[in-house]
Amino acid sequence: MKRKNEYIRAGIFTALSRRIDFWLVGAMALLIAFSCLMIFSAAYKSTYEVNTAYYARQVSFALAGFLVLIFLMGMDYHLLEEYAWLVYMASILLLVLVLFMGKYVNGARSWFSIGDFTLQPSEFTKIALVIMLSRYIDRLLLRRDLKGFGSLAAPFFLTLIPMALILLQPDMGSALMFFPVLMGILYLGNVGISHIIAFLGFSGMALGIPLFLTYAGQKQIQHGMITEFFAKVLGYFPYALVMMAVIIMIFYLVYYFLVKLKFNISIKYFIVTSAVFLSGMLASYPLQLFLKQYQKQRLIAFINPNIDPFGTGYHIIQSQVAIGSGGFLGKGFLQGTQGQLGFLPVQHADFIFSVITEEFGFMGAIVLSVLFLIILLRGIRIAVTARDRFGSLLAGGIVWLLFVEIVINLGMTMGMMPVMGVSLPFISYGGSSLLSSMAAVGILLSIYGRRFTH
Amino acid sequence: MWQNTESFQEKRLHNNLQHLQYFTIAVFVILILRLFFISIIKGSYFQKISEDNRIQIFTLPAPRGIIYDRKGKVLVDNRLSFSVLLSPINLKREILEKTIVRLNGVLESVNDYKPGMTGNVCLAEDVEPEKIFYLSEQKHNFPGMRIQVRPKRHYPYGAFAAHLIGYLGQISKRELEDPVHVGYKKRDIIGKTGLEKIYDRFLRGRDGNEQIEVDVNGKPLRMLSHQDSWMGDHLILTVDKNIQDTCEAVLRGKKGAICVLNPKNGEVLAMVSKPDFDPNIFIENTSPLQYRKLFNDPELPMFNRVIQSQQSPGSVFKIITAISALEEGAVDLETTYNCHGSFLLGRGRRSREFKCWKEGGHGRMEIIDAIAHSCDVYFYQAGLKTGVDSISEYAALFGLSALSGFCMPSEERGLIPSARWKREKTGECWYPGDTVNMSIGQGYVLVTPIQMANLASFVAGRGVLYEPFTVRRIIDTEGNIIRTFRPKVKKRVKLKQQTWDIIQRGMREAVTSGTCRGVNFRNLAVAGKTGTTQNPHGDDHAWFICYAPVEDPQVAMSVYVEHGGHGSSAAVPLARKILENMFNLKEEEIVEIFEIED
Repeated sequence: MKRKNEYIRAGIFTALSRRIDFWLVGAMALLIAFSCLMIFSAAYKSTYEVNTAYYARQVSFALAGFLVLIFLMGMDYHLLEEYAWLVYMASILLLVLVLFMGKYVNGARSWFSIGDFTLQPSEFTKIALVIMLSRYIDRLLLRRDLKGFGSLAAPFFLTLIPMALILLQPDMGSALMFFPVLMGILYLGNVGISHIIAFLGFSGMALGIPLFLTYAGQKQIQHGMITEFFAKVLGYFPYALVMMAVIIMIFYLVYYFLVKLKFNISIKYFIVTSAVFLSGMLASYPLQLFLKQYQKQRLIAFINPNIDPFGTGYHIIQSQVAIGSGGFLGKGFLQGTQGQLGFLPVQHADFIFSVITEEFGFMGAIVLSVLFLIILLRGIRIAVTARDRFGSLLAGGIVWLLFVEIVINLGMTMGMMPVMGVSLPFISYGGSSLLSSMAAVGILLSIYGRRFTH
Repeated sequence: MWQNTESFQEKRLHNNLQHLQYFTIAVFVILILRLFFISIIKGSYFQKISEDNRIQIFTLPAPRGIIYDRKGKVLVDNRLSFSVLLSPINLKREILEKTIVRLNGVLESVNDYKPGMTGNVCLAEDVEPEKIFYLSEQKHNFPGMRIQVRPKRHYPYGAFAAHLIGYLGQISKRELEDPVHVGYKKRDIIGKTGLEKIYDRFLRGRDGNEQIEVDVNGKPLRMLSHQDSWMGDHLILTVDKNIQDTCEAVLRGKKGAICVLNPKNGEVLAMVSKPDFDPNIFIENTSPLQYRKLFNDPELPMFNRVIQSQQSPGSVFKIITAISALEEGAVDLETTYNCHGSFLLGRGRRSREFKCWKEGGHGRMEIIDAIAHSCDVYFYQAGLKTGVDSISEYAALFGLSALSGFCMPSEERGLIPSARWKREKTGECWYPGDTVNMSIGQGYVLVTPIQMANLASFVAGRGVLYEPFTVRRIIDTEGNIIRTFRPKVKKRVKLKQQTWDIIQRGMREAVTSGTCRGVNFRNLAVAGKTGTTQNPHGDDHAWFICYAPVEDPQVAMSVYVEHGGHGSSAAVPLARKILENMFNLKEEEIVEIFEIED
């Protein structure tokens, strides 16, 4: 009797483990539990009055997130392929609506306020975009039609529309997130490495020149001669045109000699390279006017906190101080002075990793990183074992999205990446971020559960 | 499964996912390396910053030691004052600026705050209590502000003994570099002159500090450590407030100096220089204009005349001339010179006439009468007979042209000329006329009031001089004696007993029947000598030195009145009032007769 029960139990477990990736769910659940704990800590002031509002909200969002997760897990992800346009358009509509009906918080209209809760549509747009791009690339691959440059126009526009809407809020950090997401999915979809390099070259020029000029314009930093020279040339449009001409001539000479040396290289490469550089450079000038000085400063402050010492630079320094002062084992739960005494601003949102490291030290951060790594690697595993190409692309895209968010956030707290206001999935305070991250896991589980089904 | 199909595209997708996996792992390795660098390798560095963030150190200035007079009366103490500090370390600029604008509305002047300053900045000192009440009530509206109660030096009697006690000021860059001031910090308050300077090490005490945990708005949360400040050690002076008061009173409105010593041990009982200044103005926030006015005043209020004023002593110097003449045997008790109003030096056409101050002359004079009546003609001849070198030798023996040994720096030495000195200085040789001038203390001779007080002390002690000193004891706050200053014999001069007898009799007779009958008391035997410095630029300067009682000297003093006129009319009455007060004498006991000497 007893034996039979055990079999039944084992059977249920085996059956479930075929449908559910327990590693993934377990790592996620641990992260969320940790998050609730840390949000409690971050809201806990040494004045001994605990602001439980954040904590309670995060817990209720986590519970709602589990409902969403179960719903998505049960749903066939092919429905997402079928209704990708609907999802995408709905998210675009939300982005438009938030511009008019959104709540004005910290100088941006990014939030819907529903009763006591706020929702940030840009978080959901990321998932919708991944679904849309996966579907689109799947269709392209079906037609074996990814060679042409023209077929890439559609993914670009699909990405640019939500990006532009988010920039209008304005929330530059979330908007800039879309570029790496697009690049990753294009790479997974086998678009061709040359297209991606071309695109990286273009966006590098377009964004890099304004940022470089901002950096060179910082009086408080000692600049080298090379920096000063390029700043002078790029800062004055006619000089920049002359420099462009010189660069294109150099390209042509290189091409010419390669051909003379009997390399069989199409002139297409020369033209494309030149076009990318030229267009990137031309695009940089309107972008320079469009981006505000403080936005540019914020993006480059991680190079040198002195660029914005009282704004972003302050966050960068204090975040590193929090991480560094934790040492190996940390100061102990609720004992972190940087977080508890308010030296680290918005400590429960974007900089929660610093608070965690301050209180739990290097070891705590390692545990956290390992949990993230489990989620990502299991996600890739799901993408590999997916039943069809759409599933594989969708899972890969979602993993890539989570990866980009995690890396940008961690890099930001450790002073390696620009401060872009990207939250840490599963950990940061914020219902929308938590819901969308859990929805992403729900979709992964849906793909996982249906890997054998035909 | 689709992976098993031969499709080239799908194989590539599989490969790309593999790439993603490697990429993910590689990036995480980089992140963890960075994490290791920050939290392990640079951990201690960031720990220190984190501590600096949350801990603010406030200095608690120590109250300076109290200065008492010899009878335990408080001469200098401290009062409480409120300061408004700003600790801008962790505050964002906008918050700070708001605080400063708000504070500007409450306090009239918010001094020297510049953006980017760190550490505690004192915004305003000596703020009125009403404003402090308001600020402490509204504390939450002024993040980063802190109110500190600071002890401030207080001179309750204002200018009382200002030159002796000195004044305070912020330590200057030069003083800070001086190895004497090891352990002093920037912005420390330090004694600039007088006893405040000399005994600064004892008086200043030790500043305490408080380590306070603050939040990002600079709001104090709890105290982590507290170290009380230690009050400085107290000084007990030899000065008697009563005597000093009298001296200040008699010199009020005049220019000059009085120095009262105890000839038996060298204690300074009173030391006054007028005009003076109020040291309190250096404590309060005084405008630079006021400072300049004080330092550029033609009346020289900052000038301590007791040790810095150099003038010819006039007839007071006759004591030295008499001593050298007696010792060298140039004159003795029986030597007489006839004074008929003038003395002719040299013969024939080149002769020069030196007048006695008394037009009709004194008649036949012996040495005691000559001292008592200050007969110039007698001393012209006695001096000529003794010679310049002997006179300067004896002057040096009595501490003229040398530092008095008094603790204050910036003391002047005065000058006693000699033949050699004149040759080196002017290139001219020494004429007998110079000796004539010198023997009555005119010409090149320069002395300071404290040297004259020492001279009186010398005569009173019959050749024993104690070093003048002003601090008897240094005690700490619990009353333990840190240091006791004992009388120190500075000089002993061996002269014939007869010489001392003659000088003392001469000075005594000057009081009873001579030039300084103004101090002739019935119940107190005073011995003295007046002097008048001829001043071609204005009124003469008056001198008087005396000691009393003659049998058992307890006090020796010198009175110097700049542009006062004759010694007997300008200086003696001041000494009279001082002695009256010291020995509780009544006015009617004074025989009021003036004899004007020149």
